[in-house]
Amino acid sequence: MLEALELTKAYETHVALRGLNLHISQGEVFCLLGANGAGKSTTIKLFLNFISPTTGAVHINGLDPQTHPEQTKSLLGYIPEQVALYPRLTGLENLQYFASLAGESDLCRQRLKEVLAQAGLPEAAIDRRVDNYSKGMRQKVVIALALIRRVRGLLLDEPTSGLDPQAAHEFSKVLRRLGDEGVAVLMATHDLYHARESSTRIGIMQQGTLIETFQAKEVSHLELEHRALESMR
Amino acid sequence: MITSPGIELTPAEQERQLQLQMSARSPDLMRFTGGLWWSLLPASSLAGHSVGVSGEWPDHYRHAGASMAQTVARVSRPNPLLRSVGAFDLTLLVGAILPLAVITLTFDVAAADREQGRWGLVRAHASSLPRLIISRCFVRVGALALLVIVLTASSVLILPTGQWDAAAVGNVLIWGAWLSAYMAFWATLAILSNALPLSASGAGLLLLLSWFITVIAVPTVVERVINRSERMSQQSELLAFEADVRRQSELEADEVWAEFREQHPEIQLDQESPQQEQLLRDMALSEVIRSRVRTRTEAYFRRFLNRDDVLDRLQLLTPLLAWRTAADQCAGTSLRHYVEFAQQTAAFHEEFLSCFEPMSLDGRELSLSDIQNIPQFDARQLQRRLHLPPLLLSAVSLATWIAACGFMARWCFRRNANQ
Repeated sequence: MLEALELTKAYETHVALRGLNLHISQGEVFCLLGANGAGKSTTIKLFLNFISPTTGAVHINGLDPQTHPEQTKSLLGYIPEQVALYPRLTGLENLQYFASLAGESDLCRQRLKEVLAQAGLPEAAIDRRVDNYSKGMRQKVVIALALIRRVRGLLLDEPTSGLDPQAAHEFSKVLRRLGDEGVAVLMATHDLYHARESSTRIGIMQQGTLIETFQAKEVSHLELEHRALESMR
Repeated sequence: MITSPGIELTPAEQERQLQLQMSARSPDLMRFTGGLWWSLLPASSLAGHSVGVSGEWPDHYRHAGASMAQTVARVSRPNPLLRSVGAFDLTLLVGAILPLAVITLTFDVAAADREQGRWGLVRAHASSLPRLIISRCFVRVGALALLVIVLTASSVLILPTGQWDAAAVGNVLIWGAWLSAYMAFWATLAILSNALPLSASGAGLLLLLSWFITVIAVPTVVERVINRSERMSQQSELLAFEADVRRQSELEADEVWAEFREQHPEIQLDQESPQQEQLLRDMALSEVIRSRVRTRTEAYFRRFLNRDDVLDRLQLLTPLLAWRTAADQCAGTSLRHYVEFAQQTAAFHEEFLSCFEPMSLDGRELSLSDIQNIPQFDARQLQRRLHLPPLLLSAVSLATWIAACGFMARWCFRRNANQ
């Protein structure tokens, strides 16, 4: 579903990503770990077509986002590190607006409410303005957006940073559920604990190179921490 | 008598008018009663909205006895809208102030999302970013344009000059179409500024700079250039010329009289009536003066037309001039309209004066039927008409500017597709 082939991104002063090869199948939750500047966010931006690769290619369901931007966008959901919504709109109105941006404009209010509830947003918060929401609640609005659009790939850039343990736990559960529903998930994170809890496979990046990948269940929390710290040296 | 709604005679004038109508028996008395005959151009439904132009716009002339120059001199008559709301100019308001409202509504269409951290989410979900920015800009500008068009159309009903007839509906529709095109230019400019990876303040400054160039700088330069090359004719020049001609002709009065006698051998002078000879001498002299002034008046009108021609061509330089040209055409307040009406008035003036000549030559008193047969301008005047060439050139100018900004925006969208 999500595929990177010899993907390289070079800037004038440095190379952010070197020859990344990656394949994430449907139903797989892949976590990218690594120090700041290792190339995790660059990888996500390349999949989202926010930046163009220097060499190599990205494929989403077999399509290149550079040549098929609209089709690939319709397959992907995205949750940034800082989820900023329209503060004067309610959670429901934000969901309705972003869904309409993605072409889902004929959704009834009841359906929107159901999906927000499914994403874990408390019912009392649905009609409240978003400026009163916590980060976790804002994330749930964006998860609801992915649910309502029935995306086939989900890209997350450090989604659990700033979440309290309860919210992070709930978030991991939602990710696992999305994986079970066949969504291919690519998540960049520093959160080793939740990376192991929610993912099926983990990759560690160092200075733009994917140095190793392994199944999440193959390693203990301690070993994962050890490997991640090793990559940062 | 020529009377029309909208002209208010003073009580003294009304009294004189009545006296003349009831008791005038002398054609010469009728002929020289300057100020009691009027040529009127009914205000177009949108004329009230172009006060900036129509402040100088004569919509009526007072026929001044034998003087052509005095007749076509502008008569100041307060525009009804100007009288009720003070200095107000819808053409200027739409041309200069409305773009500022457009800038306020559109400068941060993309930048607000960028600066408040939503840009990533918006880009990831919007099926097409250019389409999103274009629709946001056009929805906001479209709502504004619609509001202005509805308010203007309503005001045509409310204003004292307003009247709803087929011509008014047509003019309002054309006015609305051109206003939409002018607003579309500003919307396209806003799209262009939003296609660049600029902050809200950067985009705002860029749009304000464009506004300054489009609305202030270029029109000012154009006006200076045109004032240098095609100077506006002054009424005083025409009046001074007529005074010179009159002075010169009076010096040649004997030659003029001799020529007149040669042309009219049939006239038998009554030796016992010196008034008759004096009357005919005056008539001959004023005939010569009119003939000489006519040539100068035509040149005077030609200068207005030349100026308008140059202005028409220069409207390609900025959408503001294109908009003003279209608004003037719809309101009937362009120089071309002025010249047309002045020419009609001058022709009527000639006809009006010449209608008394046979009666004066016959030496007979006016009958009731003579008075009824005095030419009436009201009965024949033409409606203000749209001049297609300047209107089409205005459309070409606006379309060119919209296309230029559109292509640049498209290029910027492609170049900054990933920003």
